[in-house]
Amino acid sequence: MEGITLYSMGGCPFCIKAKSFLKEKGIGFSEIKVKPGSKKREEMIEKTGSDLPPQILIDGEPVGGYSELVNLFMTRKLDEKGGANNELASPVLYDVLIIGGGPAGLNAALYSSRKVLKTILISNNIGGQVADTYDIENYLGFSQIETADLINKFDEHVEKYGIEKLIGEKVTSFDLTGKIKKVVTGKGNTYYCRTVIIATGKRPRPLNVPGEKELIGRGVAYCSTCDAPLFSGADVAVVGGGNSALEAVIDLAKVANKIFMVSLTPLTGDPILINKVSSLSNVSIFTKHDTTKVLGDSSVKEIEIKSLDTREVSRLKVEGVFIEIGLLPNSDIVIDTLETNQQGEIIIDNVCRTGITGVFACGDVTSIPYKQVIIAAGEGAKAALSAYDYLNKQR
Amino acid sequence: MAKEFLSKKGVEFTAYDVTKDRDALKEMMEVSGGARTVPVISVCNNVMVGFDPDRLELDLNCLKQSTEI
Repeated sequence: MEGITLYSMGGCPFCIKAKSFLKEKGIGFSEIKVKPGSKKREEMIEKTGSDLPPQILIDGEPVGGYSELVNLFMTRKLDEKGGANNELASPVLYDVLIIGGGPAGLNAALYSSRKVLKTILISNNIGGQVADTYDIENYLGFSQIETADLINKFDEHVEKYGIEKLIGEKVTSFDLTGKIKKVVTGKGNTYYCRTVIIATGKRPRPLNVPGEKELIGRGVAYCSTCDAPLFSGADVAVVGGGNSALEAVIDLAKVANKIFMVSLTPLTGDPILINKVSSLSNVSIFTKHDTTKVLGDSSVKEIEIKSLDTREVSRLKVEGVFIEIGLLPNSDIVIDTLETNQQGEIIIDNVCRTGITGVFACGDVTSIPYKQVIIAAGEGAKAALSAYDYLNKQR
Repeated sequence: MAKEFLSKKGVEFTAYDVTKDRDALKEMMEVSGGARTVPVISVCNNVMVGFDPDRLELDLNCLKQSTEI
């Protein structure tokens, strides 16, 4: 029998995948549909030695199912077998594809490239949340280092191993089932890989009040370290009562004119920070107040706050409002696919495995406690080593 | 990142530090319709808030055209 023959069965997901894969690559095939107990099924078992559709034969020779088909294609053996002959249609098969460029993703990249795994890293940026702070004083080996320098050092170290990096690209969809995983970016590029490491970190939690979204970058800010200098001499508000809010107030107190701190609860941060903020002369604190609106046309002019005790609504004239009410995991893309906890963090075991084989997660996007740069970096290393173990067992 | 991008492209540009220069901050907010974030990049009257390399690449085409003419 010449060419590709595919035995398929109705309702079998990998049959559909195999067919669409071949169609996508422009490879012709003849399909034989089998039903339980049918003669064609007997024929399939006889020819391939397997009763699990899909079963694929190339020039009469059984090659296996969907994963084996994709594998043959990736390793360009399909060309030799007379299937596809389109050079461009044969993409690279990566051992490890890492999503995220913070400490977890970068360290995963470092460890996997040192294990000589073919690695690619896809990320919006390099540094992740580290880029949102000014300096770090608790990374072993550095008593005090500016985050820009630390990120450069991370990047240079990874660069030494020459891994492929796609910065500024966003992963928009993927197919994580099967031995070969498929990852698609917003620019429409498709990547195939044996393992995926998700290291997408966290992002600031929005307030979700009217005016907030519309005025982002127009006075609404989520990173005091980055944006405080743009508000020198201005009156600003900080929403939140935890450590990050208190630190934002301390940052802003150096440059802004007057700072209103608005917290839904009594201040909950470290006593040392609360004492510091309480001692600042240009700070007014509103506890047990809800922030209900951000007002302004082209830029922020006011915020509306409401007392939880008296229900009294008042407005504060400000040019900026810093929202510091915690973080959300960047797990939206996997929320339907992987198991997550109540906070939306991906649940992993102690070797960074998720519920899907070949899919690992590490760093702040996961359920591990204590979100710290050094912990994220360590988890990245663990995820890469775990992926390495998994790949070794596959081969 | 944006500065590096422009330098690599060999494009001459003027950088204003809006954290130190109040007039530049005011001008930035005016041309961008109220943006108070960095970077804001203006090329041939096209104003981009933030840094999108693909869009900037397109915006830079106006410079090519004007030198060709």
